[in-house]
Amino acid sequence: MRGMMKKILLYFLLLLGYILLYVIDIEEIVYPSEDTKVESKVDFVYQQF
Amino acid sequence: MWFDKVLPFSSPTFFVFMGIVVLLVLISKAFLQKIVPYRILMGLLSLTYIAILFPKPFHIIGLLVYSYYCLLALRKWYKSENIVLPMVLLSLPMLLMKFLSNITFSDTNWWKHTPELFQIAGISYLVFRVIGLYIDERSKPGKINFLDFFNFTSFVPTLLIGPLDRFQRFTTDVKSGYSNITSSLFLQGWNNFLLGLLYKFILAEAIHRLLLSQLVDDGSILYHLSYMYTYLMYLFFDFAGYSLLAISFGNFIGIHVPINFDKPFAAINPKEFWKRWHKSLGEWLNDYFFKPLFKFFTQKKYGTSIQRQNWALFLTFTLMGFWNGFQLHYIVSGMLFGLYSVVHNYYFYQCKKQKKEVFFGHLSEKWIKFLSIFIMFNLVAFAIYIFSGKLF
Repeated sequence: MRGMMKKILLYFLLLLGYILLYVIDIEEIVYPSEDTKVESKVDFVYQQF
Repeated sequence: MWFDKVLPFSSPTFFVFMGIVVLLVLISKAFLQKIVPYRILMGLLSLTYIAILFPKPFHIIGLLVYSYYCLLALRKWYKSENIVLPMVLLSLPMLLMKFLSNITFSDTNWWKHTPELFQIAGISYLVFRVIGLYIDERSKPGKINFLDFFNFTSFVPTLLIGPLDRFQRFTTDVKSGYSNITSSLFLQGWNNFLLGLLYKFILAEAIHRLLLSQLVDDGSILYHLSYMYTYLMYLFFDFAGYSLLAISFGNFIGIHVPINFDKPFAAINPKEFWKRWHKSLGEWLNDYFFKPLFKFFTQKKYGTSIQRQNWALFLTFTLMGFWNGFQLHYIVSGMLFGLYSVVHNYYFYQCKKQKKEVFFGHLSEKWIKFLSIFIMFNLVAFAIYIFSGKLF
């Protein structure tokens, strides 16, 4: 039961996060006065050569 | 070129490529097991990625060939006590990359493009894997053919930033081949995949876009504190997410990639922290640097046992700092982690000697644990803040 709840939560967060971050622009809602849009950070902060 | 160059897990193209890889491996398991041996298929798939998607394919092939022949040439040193020269030779491309990256060349200088030769994505991890292989081989020499070496060093999911695997463990998985691909491992991979997506592409992304990028640098302490904790969370979700994705794709094709993060913020001391945060690097440093260094100090009879331990600890973490880069913030961050370990090691020694909790006194175990976690979390946040380069 606990495992099932965890899975449901995981799928829910993935879906919600995808919609908020990649479908509707959450930054425009949270920071409406911002002129510049923050670029996606789908990158590696720990990346090194 | 027909395709844009992409690093692992950095674009949808990579996920499509890996999807095709998984599909091909599963088809081969079902229909082509006797025709296409697993290790050859793995080699072909890695080579395909390097050839069509990896930036600087010729550079990395050159690096792999250098490392392989260097390994073979260094076999005559197996019985020698001197391990420094082999280590320097094996890590030479990485050392040159780190060193040359810090030099400013004038536009007229004919060798101004030299640093680019060594700036190969994943070079640091690749060199660490090769050094680990060399040291393991010293104690148990065996045959290393190029295909096994290539499969190990260029395994696509872990090519860029680990987790750091061991040659023997990895090769055992490859030898088991198709039989390792089971529904339970696949399911485990699927769970890791979803969690990795959540960490890297939702939580790390949200922290970066909604918090980290929105902080206004007014020079106040509050700003620096906010940055410190936000950056720590961002780094954790980004890196742990990447590691989970690498583990998941390994699981899909029958490779048990070692885990890299295991609730790091529940650590009660530096020793435990490095068993939970970037675990594969912590184990690598322990096995291939701390232990040999401590052994060397013991053979030379330098200082007392606790002094030898402390020096070996401090130098190990300082090395980690240099490995991250020759910039001051990486080095200081590494030294700071070294200092934490030395202080904890000395504290542990004192507690053992005095047979009591020197700092916490008569507090209950529950409180000691809670306070230890709190202190450790904040110490880590500060060291990672230095690592971020925000301060200097």
